[in-house]
Amino acid sequence: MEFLVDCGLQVAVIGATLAVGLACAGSGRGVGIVGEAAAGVLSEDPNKFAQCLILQIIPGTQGLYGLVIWFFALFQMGILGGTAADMTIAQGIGYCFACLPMGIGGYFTAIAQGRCAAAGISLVAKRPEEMSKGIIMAIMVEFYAILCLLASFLMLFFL
Amino acid sequence: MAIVQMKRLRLIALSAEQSDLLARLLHIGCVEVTETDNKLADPKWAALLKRESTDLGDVKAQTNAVSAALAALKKYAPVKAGLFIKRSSISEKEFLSVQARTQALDAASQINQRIQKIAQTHTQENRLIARRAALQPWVPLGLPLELTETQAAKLTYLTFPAAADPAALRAALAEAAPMAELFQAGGDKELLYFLLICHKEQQQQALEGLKPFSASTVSFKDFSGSPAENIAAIEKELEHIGQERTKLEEEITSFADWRKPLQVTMDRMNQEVSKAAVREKMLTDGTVVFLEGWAAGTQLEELQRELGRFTCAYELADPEEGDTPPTLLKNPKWMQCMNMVTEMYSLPAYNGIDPNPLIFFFYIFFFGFMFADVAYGIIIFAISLAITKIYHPKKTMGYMFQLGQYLGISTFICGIFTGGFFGNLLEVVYDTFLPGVAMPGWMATFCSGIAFSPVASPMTALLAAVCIGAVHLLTGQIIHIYMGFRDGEGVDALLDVVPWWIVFAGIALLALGMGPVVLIISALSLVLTQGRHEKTFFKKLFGGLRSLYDITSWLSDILSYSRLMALMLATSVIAQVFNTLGTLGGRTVFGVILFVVVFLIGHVFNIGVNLIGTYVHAARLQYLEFFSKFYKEGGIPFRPLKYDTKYVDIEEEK
Repeated sequence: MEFLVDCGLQVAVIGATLAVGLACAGSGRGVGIVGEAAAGVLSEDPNKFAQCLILQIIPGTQGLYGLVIWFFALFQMGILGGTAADMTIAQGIGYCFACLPMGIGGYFTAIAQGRCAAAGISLVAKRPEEMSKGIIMAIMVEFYAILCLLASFLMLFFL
Repeated sequence: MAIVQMKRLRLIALSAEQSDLLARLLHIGCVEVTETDNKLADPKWAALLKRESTDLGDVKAQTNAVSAALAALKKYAPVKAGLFIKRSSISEKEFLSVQARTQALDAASQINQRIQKIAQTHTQENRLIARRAALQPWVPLGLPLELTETQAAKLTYLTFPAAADPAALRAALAEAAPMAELFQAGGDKELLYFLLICHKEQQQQALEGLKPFSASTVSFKDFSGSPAENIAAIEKELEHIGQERTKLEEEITSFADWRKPLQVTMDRMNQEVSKAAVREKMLTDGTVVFLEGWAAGTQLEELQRELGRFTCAYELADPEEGDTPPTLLKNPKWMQCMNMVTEMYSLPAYNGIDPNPLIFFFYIFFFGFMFADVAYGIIIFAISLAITKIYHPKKTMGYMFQLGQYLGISTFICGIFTGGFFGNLLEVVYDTFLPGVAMPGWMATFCSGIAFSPVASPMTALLAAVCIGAVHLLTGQIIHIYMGFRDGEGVDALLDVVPWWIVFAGIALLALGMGPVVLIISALSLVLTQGRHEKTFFKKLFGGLRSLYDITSWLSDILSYSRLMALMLATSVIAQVFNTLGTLGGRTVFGVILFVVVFLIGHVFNIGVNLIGTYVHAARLQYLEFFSKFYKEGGIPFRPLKYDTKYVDIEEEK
């Protein structure tokens, strides 16, 4: 049981890992979904590359937010400053859970946003002049990723 | 600052003057011609007038020709195009010049002839390449292709599927026709190529014998000479075609100077198309034409003056009951950029209210509040200003960058109060790169946030956001009351709103510990008033009770404004994280380089992501929370016959 008492830091790192890992996995899938749709449109009209690219990078932000939280978590835990060793299990669990909103929210919003942006790609294919509306639809999803980012950030900040 | 009054225009003019009349209407640009279908449905009208026949098809064909010519120039004489079209000015006289138009159309048709010829060369080339490919396998034989028989023998060219076994073929042939021989010319992935030479009398048997192997004969009817000779000739021809095409392409390139005139003509033709489209909506009996439409009330005098020059009869009447006049918003120039936000939602109905002046302040302030950074504000302002000054973008693009300037200023001002300068850049730089150096006093005050710093005190930010939201919603309600009085339903509007104000007062008093009396009274007043539009007593009561449930929608409306705080925090948090990331290299040369790189990438990203997000959420708060209190949407945009150009600005004639 002594192991359980000493593993505060390890538990905290699980949280940081999940934040960046899940968010990046979600972003990867999201960007991939848009990319598939974009490649289809480009086969018909390569001139739309720039427009498609903009839509494709939209679900990429969750991964970045995940990295931000991962980095900030390591910073707050003191891993970057070298003062992390003496963390209690309670503190470790706290950090771990503080990271979870970003991981979970990032994963699912990125995929949802990817699908939304893929629909935006078909909008670009049919009516390129309405592209801004496609972007706006996709960005609506972004808001919830930002909320997750804030939740994780504020918990880490004040913990 | 309002929705422009529309007049119903009915006009009868001489057919002979139709062209001139349309040209003048195009010049004034304040008349939208509407469909006359309903008139023709009336037998009395239909007996007198019929639809005007037009040259819309021809004009469209000419427009397409110009557009094809421009596309060809883009391909064969490319110029580096910027993100925006740089528009040049042109006088109206020059723009309407028939001679210039004819010349440009002529040039376009010359370019298009060459495009057609180029297309022909491609067809020819493909045909020749196919021929060459058909001949290639037979090259090793070297026999003249016209030779199909000698005195005693017949020659047949045969192909077999690649899977066929040559030995088996020969064996089968020997059995069927002893006086025959197969010579293999070659083979590829799909086929084997053979020449069959046999005695004249045995050709039939030979072919019969080879049938089971799926033999098919190849004929070279139009050829003479050996395959190699033929291929050489084809190659020569291909080279010739290539040269011809290069020449044609060069000729198209030499039309590069026509690009500008063609662009202007593209604009000219688009005006012709819209005129022809209007003509299509007119009715005629051969000597007179009739048109019906809407005229913008702002330019009536000008319209009447112009119409006075023609032999025509017209009336300008107020819209009748049941008409749906189109909506045109008239605002001072500096406020027109708000159209962009309004149009993205829906124009107000003709009897609604122009929302632009109402959301102008709120929208710009919300954006600034969410972005809130001095440096970002300057960047947004500077880029928008530069693009406006250099490219003079028009319409939506123009609005966008005009709006961008206001948003930049607003972001800048809000940033001053919340202490944002690329997030917490100043603190980071002083901490990492200038250790021991104290920040000047004013800078320290700025950094800690004159009003509040969002990251350090998010609760204050949340409170501020909700209070701003309350003001916003109350403003919406006041506008609802104003509209009620304007339309003669003042009492109704007051009853819609005032009970809710008592509810809010009640909640406030309860929260302050003054007891629930006012809240109970207000709830009763809601029950008594909100069901008043229903017919029966029970429905009235039920409607009133149901309105109590609306308290949840008020709650969600108010909480929705927390996004103001969330996005404000997001901007500074992301900036802050990038700043901290940049300092990981410490106070070394490498550290400074790392800092600069991370700084550039990170802040460009932050501006990019937050720009779209903030733009959308500032708009959403208007659309869903604010507009739901008073807005009547669903206006049909006013689309008058007017100059609408892509490449040039037309200077008004003096």
